[in-house]
Amino acid sequence: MKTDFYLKNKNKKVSWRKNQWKWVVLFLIPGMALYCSLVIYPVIEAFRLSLFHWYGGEEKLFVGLNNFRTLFTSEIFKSSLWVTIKYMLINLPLQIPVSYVLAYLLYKKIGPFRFFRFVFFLPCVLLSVVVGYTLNILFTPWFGIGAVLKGLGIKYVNPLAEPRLAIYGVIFGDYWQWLGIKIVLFYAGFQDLPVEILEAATIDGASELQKFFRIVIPLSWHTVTTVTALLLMGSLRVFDLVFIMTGGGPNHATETLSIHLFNLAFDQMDFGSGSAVAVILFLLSLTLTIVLRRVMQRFFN
Amino acid sequence: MRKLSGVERVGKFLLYLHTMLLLVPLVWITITAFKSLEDLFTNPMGLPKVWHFENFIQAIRVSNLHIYIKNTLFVEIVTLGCVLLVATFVSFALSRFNFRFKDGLYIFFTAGYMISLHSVLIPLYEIARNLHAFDNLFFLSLVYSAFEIPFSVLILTSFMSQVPKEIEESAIIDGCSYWGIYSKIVIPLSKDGIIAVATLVALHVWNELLLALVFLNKSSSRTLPVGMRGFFAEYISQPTLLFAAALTVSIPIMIIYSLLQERFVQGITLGALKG
Repeated sequence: MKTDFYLKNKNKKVSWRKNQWKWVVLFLIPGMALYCSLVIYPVIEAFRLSLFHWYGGEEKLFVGLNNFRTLFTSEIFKSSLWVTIKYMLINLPLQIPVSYVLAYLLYKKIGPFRFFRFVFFLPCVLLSVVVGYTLNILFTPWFGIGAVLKGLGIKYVNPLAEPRLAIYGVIFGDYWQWLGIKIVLFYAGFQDLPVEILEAATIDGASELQKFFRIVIPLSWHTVTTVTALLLMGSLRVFDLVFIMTGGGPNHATETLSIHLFNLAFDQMDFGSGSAVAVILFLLSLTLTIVLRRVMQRFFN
Repeated sequence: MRKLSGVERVGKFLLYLHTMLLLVPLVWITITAFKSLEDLFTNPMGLPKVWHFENFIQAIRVSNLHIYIKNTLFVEIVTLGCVLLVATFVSFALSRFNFRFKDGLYIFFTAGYMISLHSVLIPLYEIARNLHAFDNLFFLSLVYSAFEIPFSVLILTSFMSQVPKEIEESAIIDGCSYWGIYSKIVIPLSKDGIIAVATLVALHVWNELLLALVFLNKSSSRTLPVGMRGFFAEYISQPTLLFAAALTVSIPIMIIYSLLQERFVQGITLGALKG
């Protein structure tokens, strides 16, 4: 009788566990299927394709690391790598300090801060296509800025048509559309600042600037690293605005890695080299993530 | 009123300066959208001499805007439905059950955060070709959904693990099935996370150009970003029409944003700071 009860209960327990397993599997299956077939498999496939010559036809020819070798001798690839790095290096000291200061001013509730906050984030909900073309037209010599300057008798060159200036034109587009996200993130970070410390500093006679440099910046340093990480990842992958505003031109001056990938694959139908660029892009963002994570962990500890 | 200090005055100036920088182009396209082409050439910055409301009708007619809006709405609905269903399932399994490989699976699902669409563009093109899925908006939505899984799971698991175990245990005692716990307890209690995820996914899909560019060839299947790009490229010599179309597309989203501002901000913040 006693053993009977034990067995019954034991079985019950086992069957409950089995049941739980079934539920776990059931809940995981749809996500697993979608994720593996459309994210994980394509990543593996990108690595595989980078080892082939493939021009869109039936035939794929295995060539080992030849695509990578060709890339590293290609002037356009080397320039696109440099343009991407330049894009990151200009964006960082431009967007981080500006968004930080503007977010802090919002936090201090100077002026109609609700209105400011509304406007600052507004460009982020617009289509990049619309923003890109609007700025393009604004930059042309016929309407917009060009017309105004011509009216004042000042010589005007369209920065987007000038190889040396084009990247700054695109970075202006990036700044115009996406600074709002960084402002919002810093603003959210400032909400966690310890008010008591700031008040104590005020009582001790610290000026606004002293508080900003001595207290606010050190205490919000982890938000700075997070937003920096986000900005660098975004800059590494930038595509939309560059594609719309310059298409990578003039004369490859704004051709970033992602534009180069797109041109190789869908303009020249060289899918092998395109995949090689994709692999490099993937490895770069992986490295960047790991490095940034290390840096952040150091700050958090 | 308290007198502003020097630093604050500089701050105020900076805030207004940035506001101007953002608003001037927006005001300019609004004004330009109502002008005739000659008016724009002779008077690029001023107000229109005559307000041409018919620009909007013409813009919608030649750009097929209604088709792109319809397609974007379709993709938004399918993607949102798919992501929310699939990601809540995964997050529910990862946050409310205990099993081996759980942590491994969590890392597996969230590591995709590092993979951008660019890196897999060519393989996705290959898959679409093999499946004859070009111009298929449903397939496009599935790809978008798959790419939204990592960050959705990241946010949703953190929300779902905060649901107290006691509620769940008492529900089990009351004879509630796992499905019941999912649909009646965990989902309603992680509502904020779900809304944040939905907002961000909707915003991503709304502005996605790269994949749509590769997948959608026929004019009748284009989403707004690709459709607008085609239209802009074709009518670049007629900015008045372009801006009328741009305004028609932008005003609804600006209204939605002004109504749901807090939700947008919350979604962005959660998405970035959790990752």
